[in-house]
Amino acid sequence: MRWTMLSLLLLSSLPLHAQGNSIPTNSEVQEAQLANQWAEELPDGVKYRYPLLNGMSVSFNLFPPLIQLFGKGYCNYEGTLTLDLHHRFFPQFTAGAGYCDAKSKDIGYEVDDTHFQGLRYHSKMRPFFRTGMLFNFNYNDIKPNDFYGALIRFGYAYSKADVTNLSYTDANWGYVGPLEVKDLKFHSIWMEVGGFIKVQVTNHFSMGWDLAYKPFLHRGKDEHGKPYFVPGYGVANSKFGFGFHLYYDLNRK
Amino acid sequence: MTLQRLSDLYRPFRLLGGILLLTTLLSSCGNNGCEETRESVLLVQLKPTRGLSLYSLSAWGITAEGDSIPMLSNVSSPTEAEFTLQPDTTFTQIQLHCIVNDTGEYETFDNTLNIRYRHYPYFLDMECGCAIFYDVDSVWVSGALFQQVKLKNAHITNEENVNIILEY
Repeated sequence: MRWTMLSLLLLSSLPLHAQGNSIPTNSEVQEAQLANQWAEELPDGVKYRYPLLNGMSVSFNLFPPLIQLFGKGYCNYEGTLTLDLHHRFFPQFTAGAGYCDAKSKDIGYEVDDTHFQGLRYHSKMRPFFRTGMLFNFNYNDIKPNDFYGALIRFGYAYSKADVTNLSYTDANWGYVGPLEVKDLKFHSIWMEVGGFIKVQVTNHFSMGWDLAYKPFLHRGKDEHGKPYFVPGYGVANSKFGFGFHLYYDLNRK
Repeated sequence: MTLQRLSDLYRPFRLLGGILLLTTLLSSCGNNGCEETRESVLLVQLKPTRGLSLYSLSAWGITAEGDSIPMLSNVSSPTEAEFTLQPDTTFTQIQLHCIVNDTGEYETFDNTLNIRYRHYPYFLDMECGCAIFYDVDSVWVSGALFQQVKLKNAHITNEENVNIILEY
């Protein structure tokens, strides 16, 4: 119903622009009045245009499930609760889970001259948590729905993994295999620093993108190996992360 | 107003294009194949304590069947030597052929370095696979040249650290 009304609104307004018609519609008049009202400078001593608790949203990161469709052997599923404080600070709490079942095509174990088993890194679905803050650069903007800014977040995950079909060739002593490493355990903590964009799509729905540099504060190390995949982080060797988020804004009227 | 709104909506998509391009470039920088060394070496420090100088060193690994695998060949004036251990057993013997200069006189010595250890695979990443790490349980040397063997670091990994000191 809402989409139908939006389509009608789009269709009804286009001819007016095309014809150069100068008669404003009622909604345009209302918006212009509202804009004039908001465009006024804030009174002295008033720092924020928007109230302390300005809103709340829930969001889902769609990027990891999307790239999984292109054959990646791992995925993270996550949901985030975001508060809007003065439309400037957006504290976030994310909870999710991730798994990995990746196989190498190049490294592995040679069963015989014609058969090859690729290295397999298998980590069951494990939870992760992330918390942090988005900072809106234009927090007193009269158009509050589309904005961009900086982000800082911290993540934690505990993961377990089994690695099979390993082999090793020593320059002096020759080939050894198959080898396996079972029950690797990792506690990982990382930081994310970057930028984001959020755009309103409909009254309640928004989309967002973010790009972040993700250094490990503690990558996690087991006596028998290092993690290849960390839930919530992704592949441990990658230093950058990208997110595509669908937001549902809870308190829009 | 609607066209303006559509234009406003379009602007972040151009930014998104830039971000995706940047992400692709950055991610392509991160995948350069195996960048870690997989080899774990036993690093032996050769330390003179009696005024002798080691003129040259050759070394062979001895297999369980008694065959010799050449490891070092006539290395002159060595102060350190690197050996790899057998990754599929718990015992390695290395034969050391030494020529020593004792105040102008050259003497030849044959010694055997014996190492008993535990070994296990250590997973590095998907590009490298694994290394083999070792924990040395005991080490001893037979022959006339080396007076004492000291185990300095029993943990042999793909990082270079002195593990054994041989005094002569």
